[in-house]
Amino acid sequence: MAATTAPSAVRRTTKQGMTGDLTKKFWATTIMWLMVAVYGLPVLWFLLSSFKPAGELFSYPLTFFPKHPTIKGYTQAWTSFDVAKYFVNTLIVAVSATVLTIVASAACGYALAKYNNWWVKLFALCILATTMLPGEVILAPLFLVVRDLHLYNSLSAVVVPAVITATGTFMFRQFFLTVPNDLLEAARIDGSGELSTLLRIMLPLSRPIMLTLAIFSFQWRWNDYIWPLVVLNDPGKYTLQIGVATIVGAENVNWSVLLGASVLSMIPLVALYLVFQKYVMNADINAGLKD
Amino acid sequence: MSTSLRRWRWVPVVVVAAVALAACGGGSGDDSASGGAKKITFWLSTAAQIQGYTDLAKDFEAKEGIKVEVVNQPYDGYQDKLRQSAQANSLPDVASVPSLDTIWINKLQDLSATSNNDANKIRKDLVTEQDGKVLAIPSDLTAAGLFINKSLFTKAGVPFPTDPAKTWTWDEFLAAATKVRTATKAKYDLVYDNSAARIRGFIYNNGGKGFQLGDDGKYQKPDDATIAALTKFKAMNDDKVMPKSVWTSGADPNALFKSGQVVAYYSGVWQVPDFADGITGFEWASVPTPGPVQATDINLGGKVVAFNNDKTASAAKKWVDFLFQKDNYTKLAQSNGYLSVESGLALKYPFKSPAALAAFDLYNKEIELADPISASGQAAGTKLILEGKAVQDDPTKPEMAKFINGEQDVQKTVDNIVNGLNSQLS
Repeated sequence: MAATTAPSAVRRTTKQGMTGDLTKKFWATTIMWLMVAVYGLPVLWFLLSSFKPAGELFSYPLTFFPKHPTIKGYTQAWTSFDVAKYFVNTLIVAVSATVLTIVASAACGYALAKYNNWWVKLFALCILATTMLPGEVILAPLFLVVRDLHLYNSLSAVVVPAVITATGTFMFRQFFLTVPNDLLEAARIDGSGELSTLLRIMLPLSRPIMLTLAIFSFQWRWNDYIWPLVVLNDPGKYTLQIGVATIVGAENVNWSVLLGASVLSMIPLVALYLVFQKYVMNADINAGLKD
Repeated sequence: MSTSLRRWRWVPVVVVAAVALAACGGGSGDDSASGGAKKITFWLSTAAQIQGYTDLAKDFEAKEGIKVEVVNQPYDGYQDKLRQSAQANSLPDVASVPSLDTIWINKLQDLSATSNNDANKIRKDLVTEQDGKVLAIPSDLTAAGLFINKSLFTKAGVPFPTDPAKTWTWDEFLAAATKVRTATKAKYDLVYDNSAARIRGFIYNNGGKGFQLGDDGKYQKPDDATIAALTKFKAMNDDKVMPKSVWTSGADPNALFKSGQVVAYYSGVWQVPDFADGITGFEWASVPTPGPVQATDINLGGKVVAFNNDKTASAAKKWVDFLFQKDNYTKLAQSNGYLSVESGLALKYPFKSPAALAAFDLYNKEIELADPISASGQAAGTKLILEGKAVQDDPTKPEMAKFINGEQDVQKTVDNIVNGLNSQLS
């Protein structure tokens, strides 16, 4: 009896398994597409709206596609401030801040994860404390420090205060904690110095973290507004966000120009993401050892 | 050997970073002129009204040989920026600011020579004066006012006044607007800017004095007419006459009006250039502000101040004087679309839209006719600043939102507003 029922039971379960898989896939895909719509439609609407003339933006009933597409918003945005120069400034700030942030965060995160001293722990606490005050509170004292360092009105004033970030440091720390100490010991036995261990073993391992942090850091600096505004004085050194903000007046907003300028300021970030997306998506953080 | 070399591989990275930073920094010494400055900076914050200044800057350079760098700052953060610049000793030479700030008020130059020059005819009640020193001259006036969707009025066949001397009352206007709304199946009679300054206009129109400074330098309890006006305003927020969402949850009245679904919009003269470009779906018009009391809220568009930056101080004063010379100011007001602070100018605004031209005409007439109380809001603000006080956070908007939402009664609302204002004045 057992012998006769067994195959049919097997068949049934596989069949059930397959349809179960299918429905699972179906639902998963549906939810994915729903998410795409939820996140994608507003962006698409935003993009399409940037091609609408000012008179069409608020017309009723609302339309998804522009009836009379125009690039006037873009041309006006391009001429309302020196887009190219502000773009280069922002790029300098974002790239140098990102490189320095990664170097500092990796070194710092490594130390916090792998050295065991009381002052290292204290230092970790200090870094953590920086996240506990909102930026507005430390704006004035930070400004005084930057001024007294003679950094006022230079792009480095935007870069330097941004280099040490608690988020970056702790991302690296958490990652390095997962790297087995055996690996370090093996390196030490082979005669590797501390610095070369960090550079030649730890950093290559942490590539996914580096790239994730790079994207975050780049995005933070790209979108930075109030600090660059306060600390830069010469309009030749302004960043893109300051330029975009000049379109928003006290009493009214020139929406069609603002839309154009916003799209322009988004393009580099999107491009960056497209280039690096395989690293961001690659969450497979593998320490390289079987443990 | 190779390990000892590799140990130093990181050095170039640090060197490159350091050099990059050093290159970013430095290089901010351009004032080398000892006697007359060759270049001054002029800051302002505007979404669109800049052309007049850049034109005049060219004329000024041709005449005086001094280059004026006109810098448009974002409005959001402009006051912060001025404050921090004062601390860094890098204030601009001249600026048009939304309001004076106690932090840098002692660095201002006296502009009385320009302001008292009879040829300019600058309105004396609008300049900021302290101990005989003129600290700021307004670049322009702004006034609150009413816009209507003319197409809807025409469609419904309802008449509206065009002459500010023969205006309507709020009751007449609301009756007309309701008629238009029902006849044209529009959504609302009116949208009203969510702003402490704009509600002043409504209070004055309805015979109230609003929130005024007393002799003791504190805000006084408002009169009964003010309380009645605020009660009336609340009743209008019934999602038929006015959508509640504007005053309670931040809906954009400008966008609502532009949708063509709203009969009228109470805002101000600064909307005119925006409407001239941004409304193509229907015809709009500026109409006289409803009474019975003929008043509006008159404010200053920007206050022109000159900072005392030693070397450039005299050049800065020259530029301010140049701006307000009758002929130059006429050009400025025309190309920027300013309501004039100088009396007796014949202004021809360069708008193509007849509605915009008519609107400017109407505003200029309204300002002449407006009750003196109309300018009291900005005067109180200036007075406080000269005393070293300032209201940073006007409680009117949040308190009115609670009132309109039915969370508190009118008495509690005005008490909270008065107390909220006074608590910032100690």
